[in-house]
Amino acid sequence: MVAYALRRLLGAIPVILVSTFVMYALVSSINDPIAELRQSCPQCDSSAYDRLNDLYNLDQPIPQRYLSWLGGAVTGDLGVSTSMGEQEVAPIFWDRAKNSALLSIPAALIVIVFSAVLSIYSALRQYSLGDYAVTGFTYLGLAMPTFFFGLLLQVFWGIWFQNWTGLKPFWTGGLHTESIGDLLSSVALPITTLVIISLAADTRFGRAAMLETRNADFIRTARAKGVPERTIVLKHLLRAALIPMVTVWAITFGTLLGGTLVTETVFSWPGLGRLLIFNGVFDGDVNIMMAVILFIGVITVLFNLLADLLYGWLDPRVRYG
Amino acid sequence: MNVSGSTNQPLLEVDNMSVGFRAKKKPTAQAVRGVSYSIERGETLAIVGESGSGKSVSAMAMLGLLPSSAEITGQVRLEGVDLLALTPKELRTYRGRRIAMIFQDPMTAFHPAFTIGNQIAETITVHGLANKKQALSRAAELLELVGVPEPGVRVNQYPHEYSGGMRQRAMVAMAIANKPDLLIADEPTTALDVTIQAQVMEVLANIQKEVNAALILITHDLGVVASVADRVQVMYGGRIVERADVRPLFRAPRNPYTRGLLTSLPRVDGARDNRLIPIPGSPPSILAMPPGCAFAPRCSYRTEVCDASAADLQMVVDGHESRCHHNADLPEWTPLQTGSES
Repeated sequence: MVAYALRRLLGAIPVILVSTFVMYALVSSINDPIAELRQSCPQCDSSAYDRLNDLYNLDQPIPQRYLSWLGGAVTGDLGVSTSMGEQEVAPIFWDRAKNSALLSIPAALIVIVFSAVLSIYSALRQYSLGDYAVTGFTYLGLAMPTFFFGLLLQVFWGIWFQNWTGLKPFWTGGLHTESIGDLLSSVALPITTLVIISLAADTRFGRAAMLETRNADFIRTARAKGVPERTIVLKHLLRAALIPMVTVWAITFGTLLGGTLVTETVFSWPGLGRLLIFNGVFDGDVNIMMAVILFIGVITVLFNLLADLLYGWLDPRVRYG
Repeated sequence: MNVSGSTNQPLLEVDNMSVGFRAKKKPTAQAVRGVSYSIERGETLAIVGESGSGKSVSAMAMLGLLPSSAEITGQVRLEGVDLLALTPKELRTYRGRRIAMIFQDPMTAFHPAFTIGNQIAETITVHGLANKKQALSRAAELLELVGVPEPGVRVNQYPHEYSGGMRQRAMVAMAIANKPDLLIADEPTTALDVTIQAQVMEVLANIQKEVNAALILITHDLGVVASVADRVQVMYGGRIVERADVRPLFRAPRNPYTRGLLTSLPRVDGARDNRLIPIPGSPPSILAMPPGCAFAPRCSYRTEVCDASAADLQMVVDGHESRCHHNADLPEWTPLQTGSES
């Protein structure tokens, strides 16, 4: 198992290399700081151009630039930002990643617990009122655009609720770290948004997995052995239905960690998604973009590996040699 | 083992049991219609019939294993206790302990994520008969008993590491773990290779003798029936249509349906050019049973009376019952009557 995990990690290295190279080549081809400088500062002399060349190796071909970027990235040096006045990218990136994690890790954990509980409930009481309620709620979550739900929460807590009661229990935007209470109240609404949006798909999937398992022959066998209904659900049913669900959970976790642009935008959250799009893409900042892309690539590979390892641990039919 | 002193009471009595399935906007589907029989300790009763004849449903109904849409009437008495009147909690103490079931498909009947030993042990521990450690060593003994080689190793293996035949042996081991009074085997050999079928049947029959349990063998394999059953009852359209000891039934079947079953099977001792005679038509849907005899639409002896009403199960000769209006005037059965002209 350990050997397998190590081998998979080694195998992930070329995946990361190829994907970052392709991204680097594409991103570098369409962003030209020299051209931008020429436009934004027609009176600049050659020293400004030399400075740019010096910082970003723009006089070298793209593969060579990639190699020097890679050399830095391996040692934790993610280069210098073009758009934010020659700041180091690494500290900016880590700061944003931390902010994103404040939302994504709690949201992912809540999604896992809730989707497990809701799908068990829904499958055991199939076609009951409760099941229809869960189904309706999940479809609402699937159908509602993220930005709309986020805005709805903001309008409700920021305006309506305040008009009725005069209280404003939650921050409706921004990250406030003055106190623990401020922190909690500023993460509440964005986390709720992320949970509702991701919970929907995971619960649908979980319900299907539970329903399929509930009618399995081995559940009938357990019943025929005289196993109490409670044990059947908590031991036999859950254990078998967990196997497909683990994959979905790992994907959910990875997606959330990689940044959630829309939610971050609605709640003015200084996270990775906004860093990638606003500072990276809109400002043509190659090093910012590459930092986030590298992170998303690594996270995706790691969580896929985690899902595979969990799979083998839960299902004895899967063995790694 | 509890061997009751009085012998006048059979181990299991099924008394006028009917099973229907409720469905919205549809008539209740009658899968089993008034079935009565009894079985003694140590006896093997084969229940034979086509798919949809109600043979499996009647067995599952006894153990409360049917979905909640099932409506069950009648009585099923195990040593006088009506199983159908028990609460689910009380019935649970019977399942796996006094009545054990062997399912058709050993590939899917075991939980894929637990070891075989664990699953056998669970049958014991769930009834509080041993702690986990004792139950596991008992599981290994049981595996040895049913002829699984290297039981000490096999007990810690997962179902997917077993072959089909071995899995069905393990299924038998699990069923007899608590020395039940009644074993119900639902098509135990259907999913197995022909070469393995006989071995598993032999194991099952030997084990049954050893624990002196009654065995209800649900099958459509008449070859299996002939080799292990003491008595046979043939089901069609949710009813018992013929019942007899195994030899008389095969030597001189009385019911047109049973005769049809036998002539549709190849015989080793038949002439090479004899053709099989299939039963024309198909079994009736349980949603649309013929008003009279359920077999009438497919029967070559059918007359008006067959369409009008269903016959009762009548004693034809001593110990041989058949449900047919023409019990008295049916021609004699000639085993080799299969003709080559058709």
